[in-house]
Amino acid sequence: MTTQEKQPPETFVRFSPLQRLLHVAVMIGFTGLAITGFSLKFSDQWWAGGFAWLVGGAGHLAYLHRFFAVITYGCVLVHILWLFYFKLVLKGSITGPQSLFPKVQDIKDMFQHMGYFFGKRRIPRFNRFTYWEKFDYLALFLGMNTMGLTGLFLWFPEFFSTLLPGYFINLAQVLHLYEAILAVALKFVVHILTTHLRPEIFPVDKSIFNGKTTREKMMHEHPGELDSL
Amino acid sequence: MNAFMVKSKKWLPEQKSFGRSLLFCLMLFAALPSPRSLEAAITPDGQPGWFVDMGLFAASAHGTFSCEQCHGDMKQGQTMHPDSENPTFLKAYANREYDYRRCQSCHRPSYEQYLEGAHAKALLKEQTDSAVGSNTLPESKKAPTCGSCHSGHYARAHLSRVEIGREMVSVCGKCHPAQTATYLDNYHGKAAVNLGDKNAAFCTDCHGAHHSVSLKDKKTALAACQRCHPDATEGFTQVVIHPTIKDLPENDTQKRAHVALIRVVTVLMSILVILVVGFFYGHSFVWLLRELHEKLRKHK
Amino acid sequence: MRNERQHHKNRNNMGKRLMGQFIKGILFLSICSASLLTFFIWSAEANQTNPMMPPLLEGKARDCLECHRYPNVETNAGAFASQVFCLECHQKDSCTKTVHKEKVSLKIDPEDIRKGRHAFVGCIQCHTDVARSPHQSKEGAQCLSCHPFHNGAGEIHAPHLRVRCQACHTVSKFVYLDKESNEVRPAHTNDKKMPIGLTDHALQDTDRADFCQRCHTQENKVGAADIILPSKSFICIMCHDVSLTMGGPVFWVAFILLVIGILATVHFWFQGSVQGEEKSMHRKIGFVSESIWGTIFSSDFFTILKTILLDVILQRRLLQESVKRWFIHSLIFLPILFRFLLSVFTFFVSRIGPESSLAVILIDKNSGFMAFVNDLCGILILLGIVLAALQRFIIKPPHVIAEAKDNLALLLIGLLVFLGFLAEGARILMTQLPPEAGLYSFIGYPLSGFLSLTTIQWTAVYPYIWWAHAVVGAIFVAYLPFGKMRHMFNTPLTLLLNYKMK
Repeated sequence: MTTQEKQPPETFVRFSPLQRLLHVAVMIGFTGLAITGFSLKFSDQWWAGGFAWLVGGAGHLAYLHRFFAVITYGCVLVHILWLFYFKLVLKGSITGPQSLFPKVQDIKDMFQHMGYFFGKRRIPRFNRFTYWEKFDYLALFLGMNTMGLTGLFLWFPEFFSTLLPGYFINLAQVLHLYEAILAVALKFVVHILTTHLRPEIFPVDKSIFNGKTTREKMMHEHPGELDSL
Repeated sequence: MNAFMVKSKKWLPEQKSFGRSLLFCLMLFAALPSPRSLEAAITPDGQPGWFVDMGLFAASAHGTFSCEQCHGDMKQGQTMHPDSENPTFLKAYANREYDYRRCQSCHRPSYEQYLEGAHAKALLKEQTDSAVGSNTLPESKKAPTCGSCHSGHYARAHLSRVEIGREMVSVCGKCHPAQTATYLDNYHGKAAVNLGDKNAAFCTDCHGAHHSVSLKDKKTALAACQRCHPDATEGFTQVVIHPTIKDLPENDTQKRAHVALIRVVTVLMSILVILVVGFFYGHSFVWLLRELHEKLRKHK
Repeated sequence: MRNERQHHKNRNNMGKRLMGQFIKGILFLSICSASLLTFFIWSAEANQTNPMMPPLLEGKARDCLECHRYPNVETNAGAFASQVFCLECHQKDSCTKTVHKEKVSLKIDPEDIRKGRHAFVGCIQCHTDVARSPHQSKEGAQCLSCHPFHNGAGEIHAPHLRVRCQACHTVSKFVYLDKESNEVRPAHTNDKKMPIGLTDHALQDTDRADFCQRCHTQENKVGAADIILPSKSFICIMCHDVSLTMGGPVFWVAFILLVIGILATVHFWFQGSVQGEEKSMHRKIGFVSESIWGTIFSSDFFTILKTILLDVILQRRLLQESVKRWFIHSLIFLPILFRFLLSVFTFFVSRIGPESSLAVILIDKNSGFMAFVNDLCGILILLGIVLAALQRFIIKPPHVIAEAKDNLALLLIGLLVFLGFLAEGARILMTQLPPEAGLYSFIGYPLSGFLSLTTIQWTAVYPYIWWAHAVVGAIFVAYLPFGKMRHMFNTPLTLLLNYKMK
């Protein structure tokens, strides 16, 4: 085992400092949004009303919600800018095998992986990003933009009702709510489970926080990426 | 509207000239009842009981009045109440029997505003249109009189706009349950009722406490919205506060279409959410089991 | 302490003092006699039920509040006054109503109330919505505002949650099923379809033998079983909230067999030597007890807890072997464990806090929570049995050797759950449960829909299904120490004994 080795295990940098910072910021923003948002939706429940009282009423709840929204969407914007930087300046590939771009291979990987769950097939050889990580990213990207847009509708209803008929505000509200439920249900359970609490990487996968991972882990989880390096 | 020919016994709205300003009306919110006393005064289907709780009455706005000041001498011709020979004198809803014209001597602006509103029109129709006999309708479908919303015996004085507004949500809800439910689902309901936000609107803020107008007409609706949203335009009035088709007239196809659209989107989104969440929860659960199994075998 | 001098001193004012004492005495006596007099006059008046309303003649002054003041029914005087107010009309023979051109008496005999348990209860404390115009009650008498429905008679009351108090506790034996509220209520007509008054305030003695047959007769229309079924036996506690009774001879036999089986097993275990001791049972039991005590009260206690959680409940050793086997076993085991814990919890809640809303929800089989949880557990168990049967009879992997004992265990559990669902469907159909409540029983309610396609009289058939389920359950319990199901006790015991092993 690693404790027997004489030299420290070889580490790879998986996440740059900017990516780590954005992840932390999104974590905080997302959690803040979830708490403040659901405190309004379920304001007739004791826990929601209690939280609203803590922050000082409906007005403050709204303010905090928008505050966190600005932070979170700010991260999205920074990320988009970074994408341009990555493509144009660093000449990186945003559709290659080591990118987050979804491919047919991912669907095949998913079926093979589910076969592994039932004991029938072996674990697929994942590249840099596995199919569930790609799904997480895309869902988040789409989700944040949807929430941002519908949120803007709800923040400035007078302005947007000059562009679109008023019942679009109602539609925005419905989308905002269900997207929120979807995001929270997936992020707080599935994402936490599969990236931090899975038995293989229990108790926590630190690579998103310190950016590093070991060769052994890479071999285990992302062998395709190791091959390409 | 001309003065209508009315049966002398029943109270009917008469034609009145233009009412006072909203501010004066707001002051009269002070005369509205508290929830506990309202429940004590009005039984589930809207009729008051025979007995008056003197403790609550003494604490009410009318506590210093004698019975006769409002109820008169309870005499009809030669017969006085109670009449043991004619028990049918008792068999009526007090709300329908009491002559609410007596209220206007103190509550003139509210009274006049009521006469201008939709509730008075409905009451007039009920009492003059013999086809819609007041005996055939259930109590929750009858047009309201003063007594349907306010307890004459227990209403307290000097209540704040927020206190009264919150209680009136349940009072309005007795006859307009779908609207109350959708209101409480809406931002205004949650902020005003659940979170106690002074800036949010109650039923009475948009519809007028005694005017009780329908906001179907775009101009009326715009005036109501602009009380709090000065930048509102006509498009803004199309925001649906009560996405329900209950009590909507058949010919209001536009609103029905909007409500249906909202409902369809809601259903589609819920299906999407259930499917996606269900799939990924199942996926994660089975994955977890497999990994536990592998880990247990490794540590044998 | 008074000495001679003080005593002598008081003599100076003795006259005044004596006078004062005399006046106080007279006052005291007059107040006493006045109270006594008032009491006698008042009670005499109350017995005479003099009218409380003053004479109705024009020109005479009235006090509205003499009638319209809300009486303080918390006091005896107020309760009495409330009764007198109502009896003014209701003790007369002329107090009648006309129903379909028939005159129905609304007369109340004051003695029924005065001699009954509600002598000091005002009429409006029970009949909360009747004091108004028009003078009729929609809600009926409200017993539950004073009486907890459970009232310590939980075993009787639990299946009767949909029966109004009055249907059993009043003397009129005519009942009907109110479809709107899905309740069994006293009927306003008798068996000859003649309208009856329901104003007899004498209470029914519910201990009489023929009393239950008000509803539990053949072809009854209220959805009760045709015959009276016993309350669930205590041995049913693995799945059901139960009473402390044994239930009937069938359950006694099962219980005795269970006890015999357990004793025989333990006797067999102690045939061997314990820590070297071969002969003395007393010493063997002593050694075992010492060992258990020493383990529990040591730092190994937490290892024991961990073993219980991970090995006994979560079965990680089985998961280590095979995910599929763990899954099938958990499908059967975990719902049964959950239901057992829930039954024990309900047992305690219903004894400690019988009036709490939690108790009501747990006892009521039709409450959303219980209906859903029971159906979910049942269908999971059934699914597990089916998968196990598949594994055993169709797939037949090489390590599975199916003995008759295994099959019997599977059969008993499977049959028990199947009959349970059948009984549930029949019960929902028989009691005509409305859809809003029935929907939570997501297996039972659709099943009742299927059953309704038949023309069977379910009030007659339900008792048979109930007894079939009960007998299968009794056999299951009796068989526990003898067959493969003994592993329920053996396996945790082994795991705990070997807790130090990995």
